[in-house]
Formats: sequence, structure tokens, C-alpha cells
Amino acid sequence: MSVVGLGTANLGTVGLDYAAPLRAVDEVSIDRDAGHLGTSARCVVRVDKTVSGHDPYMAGHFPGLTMLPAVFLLEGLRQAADVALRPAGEDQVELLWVRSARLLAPMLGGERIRTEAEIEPVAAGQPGQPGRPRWSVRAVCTRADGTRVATLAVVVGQPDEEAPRPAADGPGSDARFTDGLLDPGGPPVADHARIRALLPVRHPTILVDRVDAVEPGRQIRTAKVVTASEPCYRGLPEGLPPRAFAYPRTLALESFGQSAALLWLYTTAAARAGQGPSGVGPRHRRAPGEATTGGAGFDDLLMLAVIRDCRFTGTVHPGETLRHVVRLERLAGPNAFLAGEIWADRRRVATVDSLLAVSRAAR
Amino acid sequence: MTAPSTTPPAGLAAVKATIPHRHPIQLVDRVLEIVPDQRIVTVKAVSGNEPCYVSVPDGATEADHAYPAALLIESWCQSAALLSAWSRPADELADSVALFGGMSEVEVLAPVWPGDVVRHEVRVTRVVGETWIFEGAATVGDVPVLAVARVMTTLRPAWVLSGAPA
Repeated sequence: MSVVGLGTANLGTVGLDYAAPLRAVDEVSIDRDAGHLGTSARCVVRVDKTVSGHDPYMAGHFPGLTMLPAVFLLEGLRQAADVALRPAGEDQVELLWVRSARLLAPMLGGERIRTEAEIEPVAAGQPGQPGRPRWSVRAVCTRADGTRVATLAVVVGQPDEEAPRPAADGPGSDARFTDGLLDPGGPPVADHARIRALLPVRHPTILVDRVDAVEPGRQIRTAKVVTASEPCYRGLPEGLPPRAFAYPRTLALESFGQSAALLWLYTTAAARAGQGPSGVGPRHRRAPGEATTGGAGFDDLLMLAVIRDCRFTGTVHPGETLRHVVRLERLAGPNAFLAGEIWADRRRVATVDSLLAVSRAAR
Repeated sequence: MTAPSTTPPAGLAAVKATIPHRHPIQLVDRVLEIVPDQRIVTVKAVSGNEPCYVSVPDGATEADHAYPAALLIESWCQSAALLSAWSRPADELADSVALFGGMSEVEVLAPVWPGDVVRHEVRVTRVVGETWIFEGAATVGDVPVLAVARVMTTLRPAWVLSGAPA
């Protein structure tokens, strides 16, 4: 294979021209096959990112313990793919499909994470490739000490044009689902203050605004609205096209994950019923890093371990409401298997086939 | 039901192209309906991770998470600014600023919480030269959260404020 090295680009100070939670890539270097990067090209991309509590959204993840959310590895992969693949003047590259993401070790503040990714076009006829070009990206992420922290397999590309939004976007844009999936009339099950008391994340990383319904052990329905004054819309250049304001898919996925954590906490609380009227998560103290024996308590860190088969099917813009429906499929000691969908008003914008979360003592 | 709009819904890109407000005081997310020089319907979603919630301490109650009334009114006024600027040419917009001359009988009727999507309705009641007078309301679902009897804006060249003609 004849390889053209494009050298290393330091992107730490380069502004993004689309909404993103953070600059998830400090440096990226691209080795690609000779020839222009069309739909037949393959390339190898190396990405470096130092975990920093000063990055947007990192202050709240978590107070006193900076830890890179797993979804920001996916964001880094997407940003690197955007650098490698996007022709000038075209729409940004988005995550279309997370085939699998396995998180093997935590990524703490100050650690430098190296991601080595192979990008190749998805051949016609394979799943996940209607219309516009798509690329398969397989990546291994390691810490400086050589510890493997994650393996990722995703499909990226520019999303296909969506059908026009439902007319219900008009009067009462906060439209309810026509299929009866969600009826947010009436007070929420948990308001923002309650959610804050339950989740260890803090501003601006609390990505659930409201719990609309919960059946412990089974299902939760939550809402997160998207607005222009969130950090991901800060500092964008002028004159961007509408597509640039799409809500970052990795933040939507993080919001889904936080909803999954809430379901798990409610489930644990129900299992320990009798320990207080609304006593979610009695304060257990465990040694740091010790796996819990069952359920999830208030002081435990609920960590994303595996995502399998998460497909993004729609784009969400400011003024719209993300609605998560998360189901608990199986609970096995410190492991919870969850699945669900993300909706925006009446459109389904993502499906998550399987998400494995593990509970570990935080402090 | 309201009358049909003359312009399809427009997102943040169009909002930013029309009024000068920017993050973090960009308080209109989307235009749902507009009849230039007459009326506009916009939305502003309120989320717990906006800057106004950054210093809410742990243990705060839900009452502490009510969206600030000043920002709610500002969001309504930005909708009014969008309405008055919508059909003006870009070069004219670039050189002028909309100043709020006064407001009367602005009533906050109910609190707005994180997770709510506020719908603003603004109507023009009078135009005198460069001075516009608006009225309207804001709702969350079926609940009225803001009533505005009179807001006056006037368009002035930017150099009047900065003190130096461009």
C-alpha cells in the first residue's frame, strides 16, 4: 500500500463549524492511500486527546473527579473522520451507526488518550449505506501507559435528507406522540431538582430535564430540550448553514445514558423499598473502584461499558425536545442491560439496541 | 387556530442571520410562523444546562430552578426584534440596532421550568416611522406564562450608540 502521510495537524485552537460538545481532538494525523479521498479510499487516522476538566461539559463530569465520558471518544472519532473525509463546503460528517463501543478502563483528567482508527468506505449493498457515501471506522483507544481503554466500531457519513417535519411542529410544538407512547400532561415524576439529587453529573452536563414516567425494573421516559444557549452552540462562526446547528448526537446519546442511569437508580430504590418514602439510593460507602454487589446506589458511579447497535435516524435542532424511552432488559449484580429509543417530537431519531452499564463505587 | 403562516418554520441559522444576539443570550431557538410586519410565533426551549443555572447549589429546590423572568421577557423581546427585522435587507440590519424604548403591563403569569418549551406570540399593534409597538403572550403547552400589553422598540443606526459613524 502506498501511503501518503499528511502529517500531524494540531487542531486544539481550530474552531469547529458545527455544534459540538467540545473539541474532542487535540491532534490528528492522517495516512491515506495515494489518490484523492473519494468513496473508494481507505485511510488510517491517529487522534490524540488529553482529558481536561477545562473543556466544555467536563466541569460537570464529575465535580472533583474529571473523567472523559465515553461518548466523547465517539465524538473524537466523528471529528477526526470529519477532518479526514469532508470535502470543503459540504455538510459535516455525523455518526450514523455505533455498531459497538466497548469501554475497558476509565479515562481520567490529565491522561492522554490515543485513538488509532481505520477508515474505509462501506461497500454498496451493506447495511447502513443508503444514498450518500458512508465510511466504516474501527478504532482502538489507549492510554499513554499502553492500557487499552476502548474499542469502537462506527459508521459515519453525511445524513440523508430528512422528510419534512410533521405539521405538529406548528401550534404547540411540544407535540405529543400520536401513538400514545408519551403523554407528558401533568406534573413530571421527577423535576430538575430531583434529577440533580439523583445523578452525580453537574451543570452543564446534566442532560435530563424531566422524568415523565417511570416503572422501576421496566421502563423510564424522560425529556431533554435543546436550546441555543447550551454550551455546544457557543463560539460558532457566522453564516453557518442550518445543518451546522444539529444537536450533537453524542450529547443525545449521553442524555439517553443518563436516563438509563435514572431508571437503574429508581429500580434499586424500589428493590430496597421501605428505606424511605422516595429513597432512591441509600448512601452506601464502598472502597473506591470496588464493584457493587447489586443495584446502584447514590454514591456509585454508573459507567457505560458497552453500546451495541445504536442507529441514528434523525437530526434534532434547537427548540425541539428529545424524548428518551429506556427499557431495562436485564439486571445481573453490578451490570444492567438497557435498550430504547430517542424521539424528537414525533420522529424517532435513534434506536439503541443494547447498552451495558456497570456500577462501581465512586469514592 | 391561527391563520396560516406565509413563511415555513425557520431554525437557528435564520434567527442568527436576522438578529444580532449571540450565545449565551441567544434566546429564540426557532421561528414557527411569521407574517412579516404583522405577527410572529417562536419557541424557546428551557434546559437545565443553560448558563443561568450554573450557580444553583446542590440541594436547591425546584423553585430555585424557575427560569428567570428577565430572560423570559428578553426572549419574547428578541422574538419582537425578529419580527421587525425579518423583511429588512441584511446591509440595513448590519448598521442598525433595535432599542427597547419601553414596556408596560408585562405580567409573568406562571413559572417556567427546565424541560419546558415556551411558545411566544408577538403581534404588531402600531408602526410610527422606525418605532414599533408590539403586544402578545407566551405559553407553555396550554398554560399562559407571560402577557405583554405593550412593548416599544425603535431602530437606530449603530453609530448613534457607539458614538462614531462607520
